[in-house]
Amino acid sequence: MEKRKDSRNSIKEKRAGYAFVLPAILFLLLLVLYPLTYNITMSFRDVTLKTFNAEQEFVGLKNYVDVLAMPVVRKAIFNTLFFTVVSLIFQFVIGFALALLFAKKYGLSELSRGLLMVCWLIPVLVFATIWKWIFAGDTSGILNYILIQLHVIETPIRWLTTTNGAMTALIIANIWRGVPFNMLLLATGLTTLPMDVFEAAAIDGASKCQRFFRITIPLLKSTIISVITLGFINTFKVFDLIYVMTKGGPLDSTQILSTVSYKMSFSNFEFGQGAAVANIMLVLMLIVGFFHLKITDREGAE
Amino acid sequence: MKVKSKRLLSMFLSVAVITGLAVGCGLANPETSTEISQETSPETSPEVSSEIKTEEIESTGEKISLLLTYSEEKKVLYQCIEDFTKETGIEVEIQYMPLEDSRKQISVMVASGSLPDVMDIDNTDTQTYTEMGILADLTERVEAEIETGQYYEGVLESQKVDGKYYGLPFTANNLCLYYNKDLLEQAGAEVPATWEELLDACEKLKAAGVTGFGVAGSQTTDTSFQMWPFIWGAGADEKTIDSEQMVEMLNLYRTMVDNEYMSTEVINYVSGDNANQFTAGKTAMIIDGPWRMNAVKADAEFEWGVAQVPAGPAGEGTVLGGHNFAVVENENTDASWKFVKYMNSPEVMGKYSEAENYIPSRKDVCENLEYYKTEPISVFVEAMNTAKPMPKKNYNSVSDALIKMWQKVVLGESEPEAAAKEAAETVAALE
Repeated sequence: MEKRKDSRNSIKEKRAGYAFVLPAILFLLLLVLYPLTYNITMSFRDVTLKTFNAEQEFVGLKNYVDVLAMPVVRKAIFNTLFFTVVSLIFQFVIGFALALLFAKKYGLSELSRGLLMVCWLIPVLVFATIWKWIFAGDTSGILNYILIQLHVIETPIRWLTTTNGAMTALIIANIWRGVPFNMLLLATGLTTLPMDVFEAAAIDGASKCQRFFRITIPLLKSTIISVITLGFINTFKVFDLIYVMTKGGPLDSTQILSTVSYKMSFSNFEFGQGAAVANIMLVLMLIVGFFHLKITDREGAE
Repeated sequence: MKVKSKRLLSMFLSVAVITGLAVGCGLANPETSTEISQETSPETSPEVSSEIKTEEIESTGEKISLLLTYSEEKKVLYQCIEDFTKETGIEVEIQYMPLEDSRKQISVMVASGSLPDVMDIDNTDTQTYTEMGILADLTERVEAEIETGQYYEGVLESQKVDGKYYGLPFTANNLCLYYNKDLLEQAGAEVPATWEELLDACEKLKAAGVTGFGVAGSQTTDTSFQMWPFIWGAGADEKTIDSEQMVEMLNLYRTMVDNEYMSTEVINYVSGDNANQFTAGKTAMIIDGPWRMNAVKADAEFEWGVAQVPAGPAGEGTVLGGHNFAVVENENTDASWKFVKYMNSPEVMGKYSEAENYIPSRKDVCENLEYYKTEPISVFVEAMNTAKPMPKKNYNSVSDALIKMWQKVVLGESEPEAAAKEAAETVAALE
């Protein structure tokens, strides 16, 4: 009797559970799965200006072969990865350092932590425009002005108007934006660490360095993995920052996959190719996702 | 195992959500990137969808929808549309979106079958939408009902694809040279009428410590738009990219950069950035259109004037810009035609053009309104006689190739000959 009641309850609970996830599932199907499928099917068809409103021929992998042969796409793949990896390394290191700093309680730690969050809250459009001014390549650029006043450089650096300068400037702006996010998550992680372990280690004579590398990092591992994965996805799909600061130029030197895909679809009306580029992005992100899964799985097993 | 597969699924879904929002929804969920251009556009306000209802006249029940790239700030224009409803009883449902958004949204609307009846489009896009097969062929109506003889030839030309009309003019403009009178006077320079005089004026301005010249130079169509007067001035065009004339045009800019007449900062300028340098008194001469007059009037703390774009070896000439009314092929085409024809009647055209500094597409309207005889707008009116429409075929791709050619030379990454050759090959491959 008891047992039957139990199982009936669990069926009820299961039903309720399904009802609860239903809105989420509908949302996913409607707003994610549908466009995603649409995008994938489109990438296998010849969708251009002339065929957009007519019969679209199935062309298999042609769009993929075509876009991968384009120098701008190859460059964009490299740029996307370079931009993401360099941004991530600096965001993480600086974010971690600040998290450790703010973990120490001192007079202004709360205030400065709060202030730091502001740069994460500013809309991309606004800070991208501000950074565009900061990086102005003549003497009106604040950064150049400061560097010249400090006698670090003699002539202004053409940040946004040279191929290397533009990428560097974008990465700096993006690091600035990502640091607070990294700091926040890591600082939260730090507060959950058990203090007694550290005390025990200190009594056993472990140095600060040893405590950091042998205790803090291993204990924070899952937070670190999440921070890096989220940071990767956030950086990988960046669009607005680049669109505002350089528009992919000069000479395509700051084109990344998202800007290339946008340009192909909405400026050159090569919808099939644009979709193919978007899917290449998807595949790259899935690869990172699987790595994340593998690592967290191993963590779980341990 | 079960846990693992569940986790796999959840991970896939979460990655899918994020990627989906980032790229996959490009078509179905355009809002993600819409925000950007909306906010960068100066004439921005949230998407407005207003219905104009008529009280004076019984509604005929007829209704058309209009995609407009001008916001309600343009009061006179909106008033004209309201007047149309009063006169004909045809309601007009206005859907406002900035030009950059509309380009993207029209594709989305084609895919979802929700196109408006009339669209205000950039004249370089006429061919694009005609090729998409969504526009009505208006040739018969235009020939029967419109006084084509009164229009500037270039404006009519920009409505045509393969000799057939796919639109009627809406707003027209062209590019001229804005100059800072004070700076030119101080430097002892004349307003340049030719390329030689332009370089000469720049040299004098440089001696006075001022940047002489500026254009838009970023990877946007602003740049190619401002290049056409110089490409044509040299005697080249989109079919002769790999020519001595084109090299000559590129050499002009090379000289500008080498001698610091023009700042390399222009590589990241859209036309608005360039105009800001002018109104701030940092650049003495820029290329821009009549729409910039109000901003310059408001912000410039110096005397300024407008002149024709300096003539190249092949003579004087400028580029024609502007918007067209394109009519979508559907069951409302008759009502749509009435609307675009109404907006092209001399009085109405004069009314909204004068209010917003557009150049009327009809010569008689320009001749009959006093405003168009006063400086500086009269300079733009005069330029209409030599203003040519841009090539329409594959415009964005051609424009892209030309911008890269130009940027390579300005950045010093390529010799003009090599850059022109490469651009010619890129354009040839488009065929």
